[in-house]
Amino acid sequence: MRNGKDGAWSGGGSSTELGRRDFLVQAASVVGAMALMPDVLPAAPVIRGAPMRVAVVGLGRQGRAIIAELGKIEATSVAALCDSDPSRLEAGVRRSNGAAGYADHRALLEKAADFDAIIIATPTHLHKDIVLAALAAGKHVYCEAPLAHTIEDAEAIAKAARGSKSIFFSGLDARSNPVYALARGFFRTDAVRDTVSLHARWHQKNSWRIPASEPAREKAFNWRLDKELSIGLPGELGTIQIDVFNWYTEKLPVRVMGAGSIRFHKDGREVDDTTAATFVYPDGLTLTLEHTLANSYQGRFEVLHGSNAAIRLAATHGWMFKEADAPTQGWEVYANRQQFHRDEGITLIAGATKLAEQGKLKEGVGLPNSPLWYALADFVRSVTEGKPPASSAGDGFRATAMGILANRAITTGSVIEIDPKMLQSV
Amino acid sequence: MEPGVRVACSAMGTRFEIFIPGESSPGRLAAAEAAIEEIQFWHGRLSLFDRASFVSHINAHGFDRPIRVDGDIFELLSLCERSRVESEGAFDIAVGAWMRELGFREDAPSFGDDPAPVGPGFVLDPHARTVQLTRRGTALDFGAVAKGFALDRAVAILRSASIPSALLHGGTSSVVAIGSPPEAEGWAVGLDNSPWHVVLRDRALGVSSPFGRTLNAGAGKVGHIVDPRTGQSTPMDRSGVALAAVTAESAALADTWSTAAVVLGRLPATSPEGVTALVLRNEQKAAAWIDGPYVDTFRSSGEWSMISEEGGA
Repeated sequence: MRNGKDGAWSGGGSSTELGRRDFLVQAASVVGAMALMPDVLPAAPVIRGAPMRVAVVGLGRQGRAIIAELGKIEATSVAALCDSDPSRLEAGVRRSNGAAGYADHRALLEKAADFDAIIIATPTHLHKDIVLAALAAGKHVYCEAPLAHTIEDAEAIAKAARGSKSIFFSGLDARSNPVYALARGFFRTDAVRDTVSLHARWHQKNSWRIPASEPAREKAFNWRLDKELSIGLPGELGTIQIDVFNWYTEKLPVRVMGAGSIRFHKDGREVDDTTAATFVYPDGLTLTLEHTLANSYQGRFEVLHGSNAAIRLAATHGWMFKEADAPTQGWEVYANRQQFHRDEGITLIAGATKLAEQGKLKEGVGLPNSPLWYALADFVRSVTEGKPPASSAGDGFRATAMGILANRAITTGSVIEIDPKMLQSV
Repeated sequence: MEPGVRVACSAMGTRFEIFIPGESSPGRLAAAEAAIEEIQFWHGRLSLFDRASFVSHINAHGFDRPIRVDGDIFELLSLCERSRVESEGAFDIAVGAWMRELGFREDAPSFGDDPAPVGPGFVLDPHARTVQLTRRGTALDFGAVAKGFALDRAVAILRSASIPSALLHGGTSSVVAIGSPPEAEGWAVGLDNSPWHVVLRDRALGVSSPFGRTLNAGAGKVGHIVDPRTGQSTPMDRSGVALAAVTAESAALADTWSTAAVVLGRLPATSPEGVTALVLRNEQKAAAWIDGPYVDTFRSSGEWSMISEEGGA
């Protein structure tokens, strides 16, 4: 494991173990060949024999989205569903093609022979017990991010995963996202040159409150608004964004500070509806996170500013905005572009070379599948083909811990020093 | 501003809105937001314009092999197939290629050199719960029913949260009423540019018009409602229907049959019980859509009434 002065690291279970110099050599040859960039648009996993049988635990909005995406991955079948809420479980079973329903994950795991893998989309603070039990039962696990609501739980999950023969996949979908992989290629080949600053924003307009069919379930449903259980906007929304920068820069911060307040939803809640946090890296580079539930303008995006260009990522889309004095690559003549007020972005298109050959470059703007689909398809490949997980337990731990620390800095109003060794402990 | 909860979103190329009258509370807002989220969920699944949607998945692979679908999609496909049979082909979701030929769906598949389609564009297997397209180039297009279906799902969310009264609409052409507003017998909904209105209570309204979206083609203006039996846009001259307004127990049914009524110029006797229609013809301008040969009602038994010039009903 390396821990350089600039906070860079490699190894430690990360899936990004390719050395920067090696990567530069490899990627330069690709660009030199005038390709638009590597064709990184994976197809659906191939069915080999019977489909992989999956159990989904947690049938709230994320669980339902997962089931909907699994419906498009024919190499899987949903064999079991689990939720402690009877109405959610009943609806899930009714929609499914014969999945068994369970109100408790322990009862589900008693029937562990009925499925090969388990996908966990419960409230964050409930992940640990289910992950540990599932791994102990020898099941492959996909766990939504953040992994846990405390650093201790996240560490316990990651360590159990490292000690298991089963596949453990952290639900950090950027690492499976072809647009993000393409943009990372540009970033890692110095297309942006000196990294100037990093930004993530996720703006929504909603109360974050879930209606309960029974008043008694209101508290359980609204765990995100329970300050004892919630890791706030930086944790719940920020974790998967933080991971983008961990993956791109391979650097870890040494400090975090922030502030938050309730700007709009003055309904008695104690969890901030608007937050901002700043991570500081050893060389002075900063990563700012801005989240709100009071305004949806511009939605979600991550931006990496460099001295030659900025890269902007927005889940299914990506763009590169070049400085006028930045060197021009030959392929840029053919690139698809999009205007944003005074700025012109080069659209980052996954599979661009093939599309360009077919004269269909414009049709490639945006992804043909959702980011969640790519993450789930990667998980299936990991289980069925032995492919290393695109997002490892260590990746999940680091991003989760950083989200928790950002929330802690905001809620305590303090500057928190971060020991990079702690983040690399698993 | 009236008391209550009002939330909105952009989906399916239009604006959806939900209004819950009475007390505004965090719980009611949460219910309305969950209903809006449900609409957005179905936008993501049913959009022909989104390559990641489930419909795109069916259209891309559904001819090569049966595509398994979940209970919700199977229910929707079953409703569409039932309506196709009952309307004798006047309603059909397998019109994506026709819409492409008319210029409304540039990205839809094409029939290519194949002959014009006859019969169902897809078959359902209720045991395996799958759908398979019957012809290469067939594209399912839920545009005529998706808004209503999404609204019905949103209504289910609101009902499960014990919301006793609400009005929901998608682009004002698909409307559903839960209960009635305070101190009223129901939600009064008027047809734009006409004196006609209907009072809805636990009932839905679907309005279709070829004038809703038009393109200038070589031969003149064409509307966005296609007759699936011919592949032609429904006529916009004096022989055609200007607007069909259908009420039904669900918004999906209302949407389905308002489209069929524009194509047929009437509500056929084969339509399900409880579906009623008001059909306005092209023969006169809107100001004259009052009575007589220009207006037909089907099964409405006084459901529709006119607002007088003084503004009262």
